[in-house]
Amino acid sequence: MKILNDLSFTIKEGSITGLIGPNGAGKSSFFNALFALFPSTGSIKLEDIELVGKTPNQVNHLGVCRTFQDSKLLPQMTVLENLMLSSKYSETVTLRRVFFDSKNLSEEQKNEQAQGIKLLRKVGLEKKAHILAGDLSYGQSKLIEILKLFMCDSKLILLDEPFSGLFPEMIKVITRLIYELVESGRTIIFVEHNMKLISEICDHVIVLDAGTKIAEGTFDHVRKIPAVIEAYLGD
Amino acid sequence: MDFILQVLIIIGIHSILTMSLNYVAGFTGLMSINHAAFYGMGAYATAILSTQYDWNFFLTIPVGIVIAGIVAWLVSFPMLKMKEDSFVLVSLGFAIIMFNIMQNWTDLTKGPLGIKGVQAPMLGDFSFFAKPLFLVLVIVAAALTYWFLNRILKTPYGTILKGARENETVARVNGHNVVSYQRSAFVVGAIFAAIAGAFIASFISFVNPKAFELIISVYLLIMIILGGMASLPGSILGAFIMLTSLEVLRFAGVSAEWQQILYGFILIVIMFFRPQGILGKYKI
Repeated sequence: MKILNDLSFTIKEGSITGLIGPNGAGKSSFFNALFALFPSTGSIKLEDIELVGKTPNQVNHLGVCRTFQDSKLLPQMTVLENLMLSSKYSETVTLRRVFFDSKNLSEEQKNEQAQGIKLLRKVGLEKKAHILAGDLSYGQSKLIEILKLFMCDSKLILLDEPFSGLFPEMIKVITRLIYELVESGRTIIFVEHNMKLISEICDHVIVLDAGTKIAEGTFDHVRKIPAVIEAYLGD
Repeated sequence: MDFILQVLIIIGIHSILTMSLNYVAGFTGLMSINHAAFYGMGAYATAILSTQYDWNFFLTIPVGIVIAGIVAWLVSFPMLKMKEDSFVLVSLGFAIIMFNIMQNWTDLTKGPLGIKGVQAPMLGDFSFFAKPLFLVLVIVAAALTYWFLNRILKTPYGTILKGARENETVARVNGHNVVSYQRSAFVVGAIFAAIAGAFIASFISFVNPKAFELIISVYLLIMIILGGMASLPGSILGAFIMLTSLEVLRFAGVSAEWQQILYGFILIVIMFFRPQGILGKYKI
């Protein structure tokens, strides 16, 4: 079964690209295909490196990180452990290092945890570092999902509806964090249904319908295209 | 006093088993019911080398470790292709196969008759045959097991193991090769089970397949669920409660069948009222 069909686009480094379209258009499926969470054919290249055929952890190692539509924080682990899980550093900790390089490891671990605490302090959640992620509110979970992206050493970030279900104050905080991610050199693609946010945040917009790209350009450009109005925006 | 020392030694050996099983099942999320098979490999390695080749106890331990480690590594390939319920069923299949090998490879294991006369640990001329000395040895082994596993679990390596337990997809998307971490946990768990096996063979001075059948793995699981999933102190507590209650019930004249019914009942009650166990940090 073809979910995404002949989907081809190029995104500019350091930009924020909005991926919009009606439900079932293939937006989240594109993210999942990119991360090898289901089999796909074709070609997705990141700086000339082919991503199709890679495993999810290999895609991550190539510098791609993502969030999911529903919060995927691990509820029986602490907030700090959730942050540490997305740290590139944790992958360097082998059993050999645990037992034969414990001094350096301990130092590095402290620094990495301090980095996690610093991020939590940025959003006023440092006191939540050692509580279970399952005890966080919905909004706080969404916020931690974004903080995890600062821990991962990424070039490209995929955000799947980062604002869904959030109240305006939290939307402002997350928007600020997204800008910070871009300022630190990351490129962002994000799926969102809130057109006001798309128009405010995105440099570029790609519109999907039934797994196919039907338009792309600035938000002001695509909103006037009849096919986009018919498939998604309406009157 | 002799009886109390004996119970403490058995609790100590079971603590090594429960800590290592908790590392695999509680921390990494691999609900294995073949831990007793690796326990058996360590026990048979010590029993065979000690009785047939007159090897020193301390030299037999590395052999058990290597055998259990290699077998665990090999069987992990098909086992880790399975997830959750399927993994449990495949580990059940492996437990049945291993039991039947111990039972029927009579040239090597002497089958149901078992192997008698396993030697006590010796360091030069110094024997650990006396129960207080054997207890000291077991306590040292259990303490080293605790230290080793705790050391791993306190590092980001342990965080990744827990992450793999909680949600494999998330762990993979975060850049971790989940299967290789699970394989390493499974092998480490098997190695410590083999060490416990060496101790039990030497302590009882006898091994037979019945000591390593499926129900033993189930008892070990009940111990860690009772004491606490994803908790090393909970693993020791679970072994202590189960094994002392066994002796109390035996002393009170409760038959083995009723003891099993009681253990089944305990498991059901825990799952309803405290699924993470007494000291546990992880709800199944």
